[in-house]
Order: sequence, then structure tokens, then C-alpha cells
Amino acid sequence: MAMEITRADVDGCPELRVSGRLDSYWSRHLGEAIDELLREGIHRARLNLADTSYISSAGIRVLLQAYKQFVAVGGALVVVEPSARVREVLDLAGLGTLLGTAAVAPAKEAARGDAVVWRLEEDGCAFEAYDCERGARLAWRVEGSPELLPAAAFEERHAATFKLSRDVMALGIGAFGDSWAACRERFGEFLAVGGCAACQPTDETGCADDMVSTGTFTPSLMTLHSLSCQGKFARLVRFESAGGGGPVGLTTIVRGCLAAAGPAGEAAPAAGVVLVAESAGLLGAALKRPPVGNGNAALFRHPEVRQWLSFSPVRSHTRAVAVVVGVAARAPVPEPPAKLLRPLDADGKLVGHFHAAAFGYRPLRKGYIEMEATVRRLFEGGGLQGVLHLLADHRPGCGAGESEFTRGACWVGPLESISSPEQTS
Amino acid sequence: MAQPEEHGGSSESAIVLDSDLKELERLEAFIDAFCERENLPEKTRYHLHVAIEELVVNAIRHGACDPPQGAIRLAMRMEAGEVRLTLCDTGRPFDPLSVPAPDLTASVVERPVGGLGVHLVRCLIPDIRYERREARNWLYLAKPVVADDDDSAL
Repeated sequence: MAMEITRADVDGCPELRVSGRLDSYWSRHLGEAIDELLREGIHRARLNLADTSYISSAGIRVLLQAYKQFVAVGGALVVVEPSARVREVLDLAGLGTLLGTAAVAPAKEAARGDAVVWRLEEDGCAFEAYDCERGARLAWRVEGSPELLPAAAFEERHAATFKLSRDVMALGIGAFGDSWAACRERFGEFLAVGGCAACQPTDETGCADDMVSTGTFTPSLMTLHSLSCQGKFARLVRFESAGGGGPVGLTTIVRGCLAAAGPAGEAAPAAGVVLVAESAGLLGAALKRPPVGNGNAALFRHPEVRQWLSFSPVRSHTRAVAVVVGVAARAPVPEPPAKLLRPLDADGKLVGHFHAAAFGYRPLRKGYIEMEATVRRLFEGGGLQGVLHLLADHRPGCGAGESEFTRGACWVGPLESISSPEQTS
Repeated sequence: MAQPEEHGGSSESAIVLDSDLKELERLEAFIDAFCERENLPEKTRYHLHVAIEELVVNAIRHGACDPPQGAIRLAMRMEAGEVRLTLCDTGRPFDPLSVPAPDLTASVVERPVGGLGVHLVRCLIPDIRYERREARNWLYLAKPVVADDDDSAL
């Protein structure tokens, strides 16, 4: 006999009713149905096992996993009316606590809902902001010579070492390793935030790689150029697509972030942003070859661009969770950061530079959440799929568009100073 | 291939399975047919289903049986009021009795997600013996018949 899952609303709480077998073969379907609930933003649910005739350790594994996922987002999953057989096996497994003890309360507003200091609904997106560190600003810094990229003209003397400090977020071209020889063939897009970093190596493996700093261990990267922000974030901006509209474009989110970033409620001219969000599709590109030792190349010119960059006009990483790191500003922007910032919107009034790391789907907790804890949970959970440079292509008619998200959290800080230290030669 | 074989006097039933989760359906039907023939009580049937599935799934998932065709053989018979099972597979050496018992007192959130299968088998089947010979894993299990109203058996 197979398994069937039906979904109903009981007293305002979604309930999945499982009839049939929760065995090795069928239980993964339950896992998928539970993931779907979490994806819809549901954080409280019931699992009715009255008609479940059979449960094996594989079924228990799915229950445990689901239970933990709900707890991780501050919600609850309760097993109700287990059949005698299910109860027997759950008891043997020492999991009596999974059984319905209390009625599930209807979903409540986030506990820190009263701490919302700013709200905005614009372009089909609802924003809410919380104060993180009132009046905090980020110091930003450009290191290296990004203008060497189009000709792939980087040499050993352009490389710098970047330590994964927990109060620094950064993006650029880099590789894990501490020597030119170790990194030379692997330089690609990277991003770093909260003591974690992800790289997209350009060697044959093509497998994105990540590192997380721990108590005594601070990993470092070798970078060809980087854009970094240091300091504390002023605000957390939560967003969600509103009014039944589709997913929200990066430009809309960035506009909301700038609007929320100003210390006295006014819009900030420029801000550093860390975004953790459920992706509806990322539009981006990644280097195929390390941009070193050439000098005569033209990375961005057709048809040569095909040898250097992987780019798909179709959005990738739908149904993923993305960590996006970058800087946005209203044009015009003073040199030197200007050369790193590209138009985000169709009329070029908003410029920015963002890299994204895509991870397997994980639900995000609602309300106020901590940046470092959220990012580290993603990195430590594994499941890094890739790192890419996000693109915006608003050409009328033929433009590929931009990256889109359904909901997420942005930590934002207005930018304080602009500094470009001496060439690190 | 892999038809249940009948063995005369001892009334043993046996089935040969490929190392493939799709075989679970056939395994289920085989256990059902045996329990039906021996007229076993409901609870005993359920315990047999859970325990055998755990062991077979383990062999399929972790045994790396090569080739997968016909890699697992299960024989069942009645003897002295017990169900006697012999399970044999060509997978990597694995003695389920060597698996440490999970910490059932840990909170649900701290619990590792895996490792419960062997624990369930050991709860449901009191008498298990393991042997490795002829490059195969051999498990001999004896399950006393449990009456449906008997709760003490657990």
C-alpha cells in the first residue's frame, strides 16, 4: 500500500494527514510536503498520523528532521492522534515528546513585532525595519585595482591577503589559500560576511567552496581586488512580496534598504547590505578562467566573453536561500568606488555591486534575527551551491532582468567614509 | 527471477531481492504472505515488517552490494512457536549488534536524526546472532509470537 497526504486547516492551523506507510520509500514525500509548508512561511503545523499504518526509522527520521526545522524557525510541529502502531514505535524510539501534548496555538505575531521602527509598502513589497545599532555606520574600502579585470591583467604583485574578520563583509575576486602558486589557477568570485566566506574557483572542479572561522581559527583568502565594509549595521530590514504580487526584484529591495538606512529616517545616499533571502531565481555570472597573467584579453567583449564568463540568461538557484553581500548607492558616486558600481535599475540612478552565494533551501525565522547567527547557520549547514556576481539587465525587450526573491532579511548600514589605500604592490 | 522458493518439510519460505529500494514492495508482499499462511497475530506481523525492513534497507543503503542483482536473501520459517529468520546479503561487513544504542534521553532537538533503525530491530527482536562468512553477512533472528493484547513484550 502506498501513502497519501492530505492537507486541511483545523482551527486555523494547517494539518497534514498521512494515510498509509511512512517507510523508507514513501516517507520522503512527507518530507517534501513539510518543506512546502515551511516555504509558504508556515511556522506552526500539525501532523495527523491517525491513519498511518506503518512507520519505520526512515519515517521517524523525517519526523525528527521536520520537528527540528520548525523549532529552528521558532515555530512548532506537533504529531496528533498517532495510531497505536505509530505510537508503539515512537515510544520505542524514545520520542514520546513528539506526540501531541498541547493544542497548537494559532500563529502569533513575531515576539519583537513591537520593535518595528519603520514600515513601507512599495512596488509589491512590504518592508519592516528594526534597529540594530542606532546611528551605526560602515566604513568601506576598495583594495586592489578592479580596472585590471577586463584585460585579465592581474599579477602576483596585485594579490593581497584578506582575513575573515567577523565585523567585515566583502566581495571581489579571490581564492582560498596563502600563496600565489596555490591560488593562481583558482581565482574567482568570492564573498565574505560574519567570519564566513564562499569562493567560486575557476579550476576544473568548478565546485564552490566555503570556510568558517572558529574560536582560534581565522581563515584567509588571497584576493585580486575587493570591496569591503567594516563596522556595525544600523538596521535590519525584513521584506516579503506583498499583495499577491510575484517575487521582488533586487532593485526594489535595495531601494527599500536605502530608504530605511538613514539615521533620522531619511534615505541614505549609499549603504552596505547583507541580504539573506529565499531566492526565486538569481541572475548572475561567474568567471570561467582566472583573470591573471594575460593583459590582452577583453573579458566583456563579444565573442571573447564566452570563454571567460559563464552566464545564463535564465535565472538559476530558484528555491534556494541566497546570502547576498554588496554595496548600493544613488548615482552619482565619487571615485574610486564608482568604477566598481554598476547600474541596478533601468535609468542608472541606482548603482551597486553584489555577489551572491546560493545554498540549499532552509526556512528563515520571522521577525528580528541576528546577522552573524543566521549566516553562520547557513554556512555550517553545508549545501553551498555556487557563488556568482549578480547582474541587472534591463534592456527593453531583450533584457534578462535581475535576481528575484520572495522574502528575506537585509542588514543595512549607511556608508561612512571612502578610502582607497595605496596600491598593494 | 527471484521467485519465493518453497522448501518441503521445514515449510521455509524464501525470497531473493535486488539491492534496490524498489524491492520493498515485493518484500512486504512476501512477509504478508508468510504471516497469512502461519496465521500470525497482527502485532507480530507489524513487528516483523518493521524489523525486516530496517535490516534490508540498511543492506541496500549502506551495503554497497556488487552486483545489486540477487544480493539479499531472506528465509522465514516457524519453529518452537517462534518465527525464525535468516537474512543474508553480499554487502560490506556489518554487524548490527556492534552499533551502540542511541541516547534516548537526549532532547528531541539534540537527537541525531539517524541511528534509530538498529535500535528498533533490537527492541522488536530479542534474539539476534551475526556471522560473517563466505563474504556475506548472515543474521539469524528469532521472534516469539506476541499475542495482540500482550503489551509486556515491549
